[in-house]
Amino acid sequence: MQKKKAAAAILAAALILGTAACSNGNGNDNGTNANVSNEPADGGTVDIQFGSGADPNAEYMAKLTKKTGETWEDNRWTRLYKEKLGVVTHYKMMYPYNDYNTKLKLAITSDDLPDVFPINDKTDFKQLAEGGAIYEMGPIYDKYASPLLKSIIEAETKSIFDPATFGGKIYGIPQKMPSTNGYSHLWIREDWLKKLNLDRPKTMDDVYDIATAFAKQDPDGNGKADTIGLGLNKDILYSSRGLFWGFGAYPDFWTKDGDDKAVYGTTLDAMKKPLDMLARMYKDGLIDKEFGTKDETKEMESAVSGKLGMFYGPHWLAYSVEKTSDNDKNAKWITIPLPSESADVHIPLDNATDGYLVVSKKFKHPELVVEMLNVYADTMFGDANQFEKFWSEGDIDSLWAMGPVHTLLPSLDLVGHQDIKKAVADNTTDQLKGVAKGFYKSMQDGVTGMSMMFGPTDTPFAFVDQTYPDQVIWSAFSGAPTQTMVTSWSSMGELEATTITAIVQGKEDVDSGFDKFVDSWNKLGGKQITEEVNAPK
Amino acid sequence: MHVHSTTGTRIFNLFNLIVLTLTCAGCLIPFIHIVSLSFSDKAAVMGGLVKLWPVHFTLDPYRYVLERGAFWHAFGMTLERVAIGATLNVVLVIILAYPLSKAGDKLRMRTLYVWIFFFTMLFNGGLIPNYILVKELHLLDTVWALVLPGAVGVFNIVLLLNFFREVPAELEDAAFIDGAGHWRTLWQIYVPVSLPAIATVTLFSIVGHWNAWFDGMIYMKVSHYPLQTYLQSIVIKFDFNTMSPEEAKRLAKLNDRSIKSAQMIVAVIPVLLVYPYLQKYFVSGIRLGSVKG
Repeated sequence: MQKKKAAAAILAAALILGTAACSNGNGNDNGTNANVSNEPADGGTVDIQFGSGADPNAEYMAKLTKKTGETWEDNRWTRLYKEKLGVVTHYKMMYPYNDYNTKLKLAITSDDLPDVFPINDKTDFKQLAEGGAIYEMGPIYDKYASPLLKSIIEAETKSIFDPATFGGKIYGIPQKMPSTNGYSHLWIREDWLKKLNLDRPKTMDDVYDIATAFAKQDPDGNGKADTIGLGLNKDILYSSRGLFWGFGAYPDFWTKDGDDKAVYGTTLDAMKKPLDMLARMYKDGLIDKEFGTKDETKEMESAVSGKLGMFYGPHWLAYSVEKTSDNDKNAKWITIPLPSESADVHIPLDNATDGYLVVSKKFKHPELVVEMLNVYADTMFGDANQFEKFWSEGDIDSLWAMGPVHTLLPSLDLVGHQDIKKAVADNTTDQLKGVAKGFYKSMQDGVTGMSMMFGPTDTPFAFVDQTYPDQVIWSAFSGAPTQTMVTSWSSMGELEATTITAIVQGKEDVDSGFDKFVDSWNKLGGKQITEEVNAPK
Repeated sequence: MHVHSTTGTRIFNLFNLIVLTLTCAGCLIPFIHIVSLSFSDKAAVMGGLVKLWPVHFTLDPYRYVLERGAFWHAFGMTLERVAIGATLNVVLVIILAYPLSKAGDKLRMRTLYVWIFFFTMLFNGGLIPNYILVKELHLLDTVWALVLPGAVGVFNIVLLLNFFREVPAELEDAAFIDGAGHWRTLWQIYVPVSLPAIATVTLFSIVGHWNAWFDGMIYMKVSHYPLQTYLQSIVIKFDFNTMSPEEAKRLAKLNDRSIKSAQMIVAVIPVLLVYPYLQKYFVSGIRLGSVKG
């Protein structure tokens, strides 16, 4: 009986303690909210509640806090905005990318939006714009944006505003990123090429022959037929874009046809040749038979374990393949210019952004966002810039993204490569400045992945240097999903993915299977969507 | 009792043994794989070389986890929610199951009450109304947002209610004759003889709170994420259809499966410890639950 009483007392205590702990949490929150005034007195300050898709638990911020005491809400960026514009930074919503999109939907439905926040999801964007919850930013941008900011945002094409345009009005300011992230490169084991006395591939037939040699001639020398010629994963159209580009095919991309009309690349006849090549490779055993169930991580396992000789992929896979040498000490991965059938390969790219900044109508000073971006552009890329202070701190290279807004020069990564290449050739690496200085330092510190991406030769950016922006084709459609896209696009994507996989696996004939696919794609809504995409805005 | 071992039963036993072994292996192998990943070197993990035994044994992932403040914050949050949430669940279940276990002549409109609870099992307001409700009650970002919405577990009530019904009416009668009221009868007669059922309900409730992640994501700020919500945010799958190249690039750089595995293993340990502890109650509960003649 005594025991029971004691237990009851503990339960009660637990409940009371819980209440106390929780009311503390509450108090803090109310404290920050109460400070919001929205009114800039002369020389006073404005509190802005931001949304952000950064991860509050991000390791680089933990490192920075340890080193300099800076935090998300109080760091060199937020201090800069406070000093120049009187903006005091608060985060109402800061969640890692995927969670952020979910939380934003909740905030929209419960009418609890931050003052200024980035939008990634085009459907949410449309809903907010048409519902009148956010400011029209076009005129504000025209009036307040500095020439420098405009030159950065519009550096690639003016169509960057298309995804933010609804009913002819612009509702968001893009946070520009280097579009060169959209490149697909051919990664290849140089040591295997040398071992088998092969030349680097230039045409698509070369790619085929080298894949055959890699698969059949035992390049790892273990006496077993366990090597793969060309890497492939279940997202064929995404992961092997570069192979299709070699044939002048642009899957999963809106391109222009002869009549200047937007057409969907996956449905064009140019797809047949690359699909035929992949189907033959699959039949000849040059491709992993199980690719249909493997994602990129699994594909990279074959690469890192030293079983794979070649694959198409973005430049940052360097961070994965650099580990190959731990398992096979001779391994050397390089990228080479994309092999192609015609003399110059074209690179289809989307105008890259890190979301669009929008301003809630409940906030009174939408122009402040543009002014903050002006300050950002000035600080990073202006004549009297302080690039190094605001780009990185020691080995923490994400400092540029620690403020509430950011926008980068589209050619930033490329310039890094060009400067390093020049400095290495002239032997002036000690005079490197800006982004190149940081890149070069990481390379010297033994970050192999950095050398593999930005080094002077045989790297992804050596190829970007050759082709950007002259050989780039910009996407012909990047607006919000059209009406039919909203209802049918996901089932059409399903059809697209399963048919392409079936063709590569030889379950469907390349010619007739592909024609049948285009036909059903059009019937499912493709025809309608193409019309909607081409309709005058 | 003598067991007849005919050919038929032997075949059945063999078959049984095989099926159970396979089921068991199906549960254990993925777990062992994660344990092995957590003790393996990064290059071996990325090369897919780790199967059921660590390759290039290392403790680095665990050293990293020890220093990772965010992980331990989330861990503390989960401990708090389990302590408050499970206590609340069990107390509410007990005091609700008792009256509902009585026959209709003792509790008027019993059927109505049962239906009210049963109704909530079948229907709920949906995500957005729930969110707005929690927000308007100013529970957002407090432990109560995780604890109160699910405080009354109807399934657990049904479980315990049925157990209470099995308690012999003589026990209750004897208590009433000795002058006990309902309150005393519940806590001093029903609860002690029902320990096996209460242990089960407690276990369900602890494990439920421990594993819940979605409500954490919906109601909490990242700094107050409970453990499983935190874990899902780091174990996230690459989905290129919804992800900008920027984000894919950032994640690729951070992708480290041995560290993720180590965090998963540490997160499982407390639950593994709870099971054998509660087992004790199953046994003693069964011994207590008898009428002595």
